[in-house]
Amino acid sequence: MDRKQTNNDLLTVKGLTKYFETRAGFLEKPTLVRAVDGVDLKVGHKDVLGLVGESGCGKSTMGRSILRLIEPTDGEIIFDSEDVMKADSRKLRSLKRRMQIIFQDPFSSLNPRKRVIDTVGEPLIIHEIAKRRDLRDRVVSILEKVGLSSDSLYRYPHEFSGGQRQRIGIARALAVEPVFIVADEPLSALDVSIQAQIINLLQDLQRSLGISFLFISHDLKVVRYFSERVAVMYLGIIVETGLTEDIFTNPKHPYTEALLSAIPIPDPSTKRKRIILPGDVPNPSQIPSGCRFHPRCPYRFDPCDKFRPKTTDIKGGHLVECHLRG
Amino acid sequence: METLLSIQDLKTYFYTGDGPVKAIDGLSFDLIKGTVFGLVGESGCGKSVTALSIMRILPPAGKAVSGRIFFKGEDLLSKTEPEMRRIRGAEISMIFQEPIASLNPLFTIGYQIEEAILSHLKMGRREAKKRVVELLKAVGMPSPEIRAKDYPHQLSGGMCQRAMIAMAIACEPSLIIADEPTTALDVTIQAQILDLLRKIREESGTSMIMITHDLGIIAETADSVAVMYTGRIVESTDTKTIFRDPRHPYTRGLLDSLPRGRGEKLIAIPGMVPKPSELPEGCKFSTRCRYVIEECQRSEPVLREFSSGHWVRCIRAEEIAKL
Repeated sequence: MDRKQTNNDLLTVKGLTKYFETRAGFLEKPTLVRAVDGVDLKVGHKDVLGLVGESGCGKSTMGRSILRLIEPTDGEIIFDSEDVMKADSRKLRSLKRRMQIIFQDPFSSLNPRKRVIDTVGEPLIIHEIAKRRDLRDRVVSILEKVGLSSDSLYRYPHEFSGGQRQRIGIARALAVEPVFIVADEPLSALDVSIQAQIINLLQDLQRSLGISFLFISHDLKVVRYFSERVAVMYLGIIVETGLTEDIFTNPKHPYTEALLSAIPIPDPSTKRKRIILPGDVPNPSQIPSGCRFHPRCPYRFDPCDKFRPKTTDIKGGHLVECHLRG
Repeated sequence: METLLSIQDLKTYFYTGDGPVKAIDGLSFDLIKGTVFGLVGESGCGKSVTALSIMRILPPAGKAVSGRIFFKGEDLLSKTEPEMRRIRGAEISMIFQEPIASLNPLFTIGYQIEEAILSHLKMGRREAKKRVVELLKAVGMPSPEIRAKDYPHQLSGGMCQRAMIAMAIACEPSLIIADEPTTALDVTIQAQILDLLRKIREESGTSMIMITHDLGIIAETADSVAVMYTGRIVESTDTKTIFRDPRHPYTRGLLDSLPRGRGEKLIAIPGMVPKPSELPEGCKFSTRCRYVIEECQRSEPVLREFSSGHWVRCIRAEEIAKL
């Protein structure tokens, strides 16, 4: 199938689900929110998989479930030939040395009471990578990698700008020398000119250190730029996945197509047909029958509201879940 | 070409414990009737403060200390508060970034739109109620009669933004200021709202100021555009020219920062926007500029007409295209 899909995949996820129970009120019956509803995906060595979708589609839940930062309801996660779901807390800790996360909001994801040396150095101590007396030098060399100087060491997060804080967040993730990083909207809180700096940094790190990424973003331009392959998520499932260029130049799923046509292009001379989807981004506690996308789909026909489409491989690992295009 | 709004040398300062912060420092632009004027820049460049200054709804610490804002030939800065109240919502209305936060959570959206109508138009309550439903229908709200009775928290972000737009067009204003109207929305919902704004403009000929950080939105909505940096306009011209032939290094930097396709390293603007209290002497962009020369740091360049209708605040504008 996919050229990346060999026996030595770094990460293999099968049938991952995460359900939440929520209550509208104290006496109300709980309803089930199917945030992630049976997702398969693979990330190879030195691979970047972009995960796109709109708010509430489950992309962040997905990223966190893979690292077991939230406990998945069901599914299988194999990382570097080890079963993440079955790992006990000791095993999990050693796994987390190899898999890390970068969060979206650099303002709330750093502990405001910790200096940079503590934030970046703590994982080194926890994982017994560095001794206390070597800590400073280790942290300085990590900070250099992300473009921060050693005078940042004893400063607190509030003394930094958004872009610099995101660099600290990246440094913290890099400290334990992971082979896999979940980057959960790492750019969306940043201004355009700062975004470009951080993309360049992530790209450099990815290439020089050979780290694999699950790159979660709603910004399709950034995903196209950074990812080897792309998975498009809608209401807890992946509706289309394939090589980045295939997805962007030849999208098959009507949702992918609409999503791509909705991006405003910074070039006033391009005129194109925009597909405007009706309705709102649906709520994962009320998942439509059949194909989940059918209420908003411009091409829906007979089977769409009755049966869920099967995933079809159109061409060399370009997978799509659609009655019409599959 | 009739000028609807003309801002002349506006200065808006914020008085803080550490002295005045010059949020807008000498801003001028003209909005031609029936067109969309885009204001683009990064956080803190003063684009939202411009909107608040026009509407005269600055927070207590802020004050438009000098300059003029001519709207239909009259200076808004010399209007009394009761006079402004008759203009806001009726002549000029505003759409804010956070639709859910900008609506009053204690009243239904129908009631809030109704109030906007009743405070400006001579209309009975029953008639106003009918108008609310018409408006909600016009902005594409599903089942408008039912939605009119909903509170903001019962609606999605996209629907709240539709309600805000219904309120903004309720009195058929001549100018709508849209301050990042789609930033808080998902991309498919953003497409719906931009499409709606385009329809409103086509049908009613309303003029608009479109404030955004997204150059893509500028390209698709604005007729002319001003790029702002540290409370000043650094470049201003028609939309086509800004993308085809940008002459200010900051505009060029913003365009270069956008990922296009795959692979090539992005040309990022180094450093970050300086704090208002730490602005450099001379050109305010000189600390981050790729093309900086000694002269740039000596005195601040003026916004000059580089070619007809193309204004640039850079002494090297002529050479920039070749550098």
